[in-house]
This record gives sequence, structure tokens and C-alpha cells, in this order.
Amino acid sequence: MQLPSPNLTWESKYQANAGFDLGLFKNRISLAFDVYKNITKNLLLQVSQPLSVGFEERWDNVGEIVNTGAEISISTVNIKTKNFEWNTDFNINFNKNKLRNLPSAIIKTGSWAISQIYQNGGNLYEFYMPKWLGVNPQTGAPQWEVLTKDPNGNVTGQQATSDYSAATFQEVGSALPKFQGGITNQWKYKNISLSVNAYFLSGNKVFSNNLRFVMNDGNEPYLNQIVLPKGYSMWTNPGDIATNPSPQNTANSTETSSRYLMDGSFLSIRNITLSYSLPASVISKLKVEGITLSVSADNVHTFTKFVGQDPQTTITPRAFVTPGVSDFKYPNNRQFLFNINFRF
Amino acid sequence: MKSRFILFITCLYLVGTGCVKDISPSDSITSETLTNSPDGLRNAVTGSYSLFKDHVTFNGTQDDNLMYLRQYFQLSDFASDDIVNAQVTTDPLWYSFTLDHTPTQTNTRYFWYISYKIINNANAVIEAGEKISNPDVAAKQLIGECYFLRAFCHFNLVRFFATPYTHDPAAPGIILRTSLSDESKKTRSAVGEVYESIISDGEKAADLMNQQRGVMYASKEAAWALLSRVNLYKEDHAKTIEYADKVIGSGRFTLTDETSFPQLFKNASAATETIFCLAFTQNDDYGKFGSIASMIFSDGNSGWGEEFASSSLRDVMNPHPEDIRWSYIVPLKDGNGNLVKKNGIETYYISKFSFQENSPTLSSPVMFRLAEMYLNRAEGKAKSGQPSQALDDLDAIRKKRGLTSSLYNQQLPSGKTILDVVLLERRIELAFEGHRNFDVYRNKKNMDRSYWGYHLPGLKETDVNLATAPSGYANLSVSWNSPRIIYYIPVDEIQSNPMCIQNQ
Repeated sequence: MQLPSPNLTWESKYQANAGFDLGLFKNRISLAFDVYKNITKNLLLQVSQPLSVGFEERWDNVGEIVNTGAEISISTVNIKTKNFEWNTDFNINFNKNKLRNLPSAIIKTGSWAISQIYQNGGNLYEFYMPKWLGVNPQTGAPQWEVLTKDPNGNVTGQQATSDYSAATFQEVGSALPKFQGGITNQWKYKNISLSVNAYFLSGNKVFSNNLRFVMNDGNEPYLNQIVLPKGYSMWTNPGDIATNPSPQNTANSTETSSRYLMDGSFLSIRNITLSYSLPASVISKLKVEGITLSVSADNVHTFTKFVGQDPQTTITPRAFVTPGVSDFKYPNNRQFLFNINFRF
Repeated sequence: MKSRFILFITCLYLVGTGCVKDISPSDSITSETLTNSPDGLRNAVTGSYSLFKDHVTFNGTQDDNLMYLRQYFQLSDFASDDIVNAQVTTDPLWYSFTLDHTPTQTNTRYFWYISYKIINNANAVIEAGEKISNPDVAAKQLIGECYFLRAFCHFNLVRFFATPYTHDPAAPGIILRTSLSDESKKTRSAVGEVYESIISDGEKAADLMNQQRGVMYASKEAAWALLSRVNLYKEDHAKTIEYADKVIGSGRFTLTDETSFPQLFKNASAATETIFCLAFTQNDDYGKFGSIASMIFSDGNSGWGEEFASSSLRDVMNPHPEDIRWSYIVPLKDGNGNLVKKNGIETYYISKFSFQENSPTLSSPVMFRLAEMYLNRAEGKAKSGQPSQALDDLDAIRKKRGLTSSLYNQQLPSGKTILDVVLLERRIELAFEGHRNFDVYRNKKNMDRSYWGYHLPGLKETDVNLATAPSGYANLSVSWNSPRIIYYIPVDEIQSNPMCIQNQ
């Protein structure tokens, strides 16, 4: 069952692109550069409804998104000798987006009351929740920020509260990265080649939802607790400057707030492959065109300061998937493969 | 030339089809077409009843925890002095014990959502029904049931989310949804207006319902029972008594006795005392993860075993070990016959939601039963200067509960007020059925929770000393005028409906 949306219409996209491709030094360096400005009008969105209408959401056309950004890709042949070659492919994309022409702010609240706000001048997937202010050094209780505002909505004061329900919901960062890209390096020496592929992104926030369970300050003795990561500490005595509240004074400490909102930047080594092609002298006896032996490793390592299972989350909005929320999931498996490739 | 022509045709095709937006799926039913098929109304009403027991998808996931009735009983009785918590948890049910409520707690968010889903379903049937020119008895019955369900859900919402009527009828109540064409953004009506709407719906329901479909469906008597309860909360004593009289006088129900009372809750839909229950079948046995019983009862593996009958309740029942109402309080003993403790708290399971078809996790929760009508009437009489008649009503129940040798016989025990004894009887009789916390606060009494349990913030098992009462903790007593006797309006409503103001 759903609410009717009688005036629903298509989203429309208006794109402007400019760019150039450049080859330098006999194409040892090739460069592609693109800038764009994309405007999406009549944005199709599942708009949250007051729950008192008996439905959670309704399709509606609301407002516009403006995406501006640049894409750069560079391929270079760093070294090229008779027996040795080193190539690098690098690409990076910077993107900025702004919402505009919304009739009013739209707040979408999903599982665990994790909300995101759509408002004029704001980012897409902007997290909207109480701001965590750490632990009260005197009492060991959790603290959140309360903002006082004048009638025009301007912030006139701020203070800390240990009463979660009194905390102010506010914008605390977007799930969209400021830039992202990939880099692949390949080294070849005679018949041996090594390639390393990495992916990175930066400037986004990820809500690390599993922490509410595995870092719950003693609120749930049935669940395993993580060893506190470096830089985290538990309040024990008055005067302690701690990150985690006293287990004796935890009221609402695991409720949704920026406590579990982390910098989602990471650099992930996705794949390393080492391969060896059998020399022509061997091949010719076997009446095949080529044989390549290779070992490869997938999901090798992720460098990140993110605390949680995995900073890689979906930012594709689907029904009831809050973009940028990292929850319990089946882990990415690290694969090691040995391949033999025959070409006839 | 040829290619240009094809392009032109293609464009024409796009333009032509682009305008056809209104294609209804062949199986779609709109609120306008609800009455077109003979079963339409009945199916829609049946669907509303199942919303009380289904785990309806919320925020894109189906959660075993979330079920109207599960939330109904945890939000009410866990906030009372009848049930004690023996294990801290991140499940928001814990906030009913600690009173650390938040607008973001998932159990109130779901309860709010699903309540209004039932209400809006009812509205759809009511509006479709109004278009039937000459409704027969069956159609009227169904429309009446929807008025009943709307009143019942609005009443439960106003009890959980708004100041009691007796404290301030002008306080913000809840959002009344009585029409499908309502603006989605709407203010909260005052508590008094909400009660008026509930009473008007209840009266319409009683008028329209003239067909018996069994106690698992609403009936004329169920509407009267609701009206008796609503007027009790409103302290309209005459109406409370009038509607209780109507139910008692209908002759449809009789009080269970010493032998049948222990069978009542496992056999609710066939019990002589049941006015209205929400029928569960074996298909609806949600076991450990999703049943009501799993919160408060375990046969060893069927429940979580974390919430028990409180020492406070057992203390007031102790003078009468022969009271048959003890049959729903089940002590857990180890192999040597010693009482088992959980984190220092004595394990007394509650079995009012168990043993239908012998399953420890299955029952058809009783929403209205005859004993409550006697108790409503007794309270109405007690508050309108008819104490001996009130005591007669209490005795009518006590006779059937193994207390024939301890009747009041119109004599008020010394040192007690008539309201004291009425509320005591009500507490013991209706324990764990979602009444106690409302009964305490609407009568402007404080909730005494000075017993050991994890509602006391920061309690450790080693602190528990059952030989003495706890002292020095927060939450030992909850004042009747504390803002925390009710819950916050869920965050989703506040954020999408700026006209709805939050509770203190």
C-alpha cells in the first residue's frame, strides 16, 4: 500500500561539460580533464511523511540538485627501457553538490533514527542528529550539544547537556566524499609483471552503526565488546577527560548522535597481481599461443582512521537505505588466487 | 531522407506515450474501489486487526521486536511497579524502566506509526462505507468495528503520549486522524478534544455494531467496555458506571471462577470472561524473538527471562496465598528447590501470555474482560460516594478468585480509603494487562519503585541486598506530575510535521 502521488513527473537533467585531452612527450603522458555542472530538476525523492498519516514515505518531486566538479585522469609511462617498464594510471574526481529550490526542509529518518536533512544550500545526504560532546569530566555522563537560537534561527548560544532528549538536532556532515579516485601502477620486467590497484576517497562522514552495540558502555552485557581503540578511554574518576562514559552513568549514551559518526576517508589496496608469461622458447614446443602464471590478492588492506567494520558504504539511495551508514555485514573477503592462463 | 523520417516517427512515439501516466495496475485497490467487491470491506477490516500482531516492515526492515501488542505491554507495564527488570539491555524497552526516554527510541516510533496505520485503515473503511446507500447489518457491523478500532487506537496513543485527562484536559493531546483528506501536517488536539472524539467514535461504534462475530472482533459490548474505560479515565463517574452496567447486564459474559480463571489467558477466545481479545493462531507464534511472552516468561529456552513480577506486587498479594491470581506468577526453582536469581533479582515469571495450544510463547491477548467492568464500576462508585456498592463489586470478583473467606461484606478495613481498596483489587486482578501505570498516575499517585531492580541507575549485582530496601538511588519513586510518566512524540513526526510540538 502506498500514498498516491498524482502529480508525479520525470526528473530532468541538464548537463554542461567542458574538457580536453592532452598527450605529451610522445604520449608518455596523457591527460584528460573534464569539468561539469549538472543540474537535476524535479528531483524524485521518497519524502518522509509524518508517521501519523499511517505511511512512512511518499514519492514526490522536490527541488533541484546542482553538482559541480572536475574529473582528471592521467596515464603516464614513467620508465620505459628495453626490459623494464613502469606505467601509472591515476584518476580523481572532485565533486560538490548543493540542494536548492526545495519548498521546505525534508528530514528523512531511517533505521535507528539516523536522519539526513535535505535543505536549500545544503549537501545531499547530510547527517542530522545531536552532536556528541564527549563525557562530562565531573560526572562521567555522556554529553550532547544544545543550541539556543533567536527567532530567525541564528545560533546565539551553545551548551552541553546530559539529557539526550534536550539535545539539538543539527547538520553534522555529509556522506558524500569531497574527492575520490583510483591509482594503478604496473611494473614489467621481461616476462614478469606486477600491478597494484588502489582506490581512495576522502571528506565524507560514515555512521558506524555497529559501534552502538560493540561499544555500548556496558548497556548490553550479552554483546561482545571491542577493545577500546587507540585514543579512546573510559571515564573512571572525577576530572578524567575521557571519550567513553562511566558504565555507571550511561543514560542514552548509545542513542544516535555524532558519537558514532566517523571520518570515512580511506585508501584501499584492492588488488595486487604478480604474473609471469612463459618465454616463447617454451611456448612454441607446447603449440599454444601463450601461457601466463599469476598470483593475485584482492582486498589486501584498507588504510583508514575509521572505527568500525568497514568505511565502504553505499551512497546510492535505495528505499530505506540511509546512504553512508555502515552496519554489520558479511565482510569483504580477502582472496588469494593462483591462475594459469592458456591462450590457444 | 529515410532516416530522418524514422527519427520523426520515433519522436512522435515518445511524445505520444509520454502523456499516458495514469495506468492503474490491474490488481490495485484504491480507497474509492474498496466497496466495489463484496469482500472488500471485510478484508480491509480483517487487515486492520492483523496490524496489532504483525511485525510490519518499518524503515525498510522487518524486526521481530516490533509488534503493536509487544510495544503496548512493554510501554505500559514495564513503566509500572508490577514488573521488575533483571538485566540491562540496549533494547529501548529498558527506557520504560529507567525513564531515560528519547524521541528516537524505536519502540515508540513503531507504536506511533502502526497505531496511525490502523487508524487510517479504519478511516478508509468508514469513508467507503459512507458511500453505501443502504448498508445491511453486516456492512454496518464492519463500519462500527472501524469506529471502535479508531477510538481504541486514539485512546492508547493519548494515554502513552499525552498528559492524563485528570491532570489537565487542556494539555496537548495527540494528532487526531479522522479523515483521509486531512492535511498531513497537523497540530496536536487538546487532551479533552481527543477524549471527545474517542467517546463520539465509541458511541457510533456501539450503535452500528449489531452482529456477533466472536470475541476476537469488536462488538457492541466491546464498544461499551471501551466507553466505560475512557469515562473512568475522564472521571465521568455516571458514564463509567452506565457503560459497565450495560456490559455486565448484556448477559453475554460471566466471571471465570477458581477453576476457570487459571485457564482464561491460554484460552482467551473461548473464555466466558473475554469481551475482546486479539486472536493469535499457531501461525502467529513468534517464539523467543518476537512474542509478547518471551519478554516475561521462559520455559528454559522460550524467552529472554529478564523481566519478572516485582516484589512490590508480590508483597501486596502475600497476605492471601490462596488467591487464585497467583497462578499467573511462576517462580523459577533450581534442582534443589531454591528460587533462581538473575543478576540478584528473584525470578518470578509471568504466564498471562503463554500456553495457548501449549506453546509458552502463544496467547491471544485480552484487551477487555468482564472483571474490568466490575472494577471500573467499583471505582466510579467509590468516587461518587457509594462505597458499599463499590465493595460489593470487589466482592463479586473476590468470590471467584478463591477469597470467599476474605470478603469485604460492605465493611471498609480500618485505615484504608475506599479508593485504596478498589485500586488494590484492580492492581492484583489486572496485573500485567497494561493498566497499572495509567491507574496510578491518573489518580495522581506517585509510583513507588523502591525495590531492587535495574530501573535503579548504575545498580550492580553486588549492590543488591534483598534483606533491605534500596536507598539513595534515583528512580525510587516517580512523582505523578513528572514529565516522564509519558513518552516523547517520536522524532519522525516532529521532523516531518513542524506543527506537532514535543512533550516536555
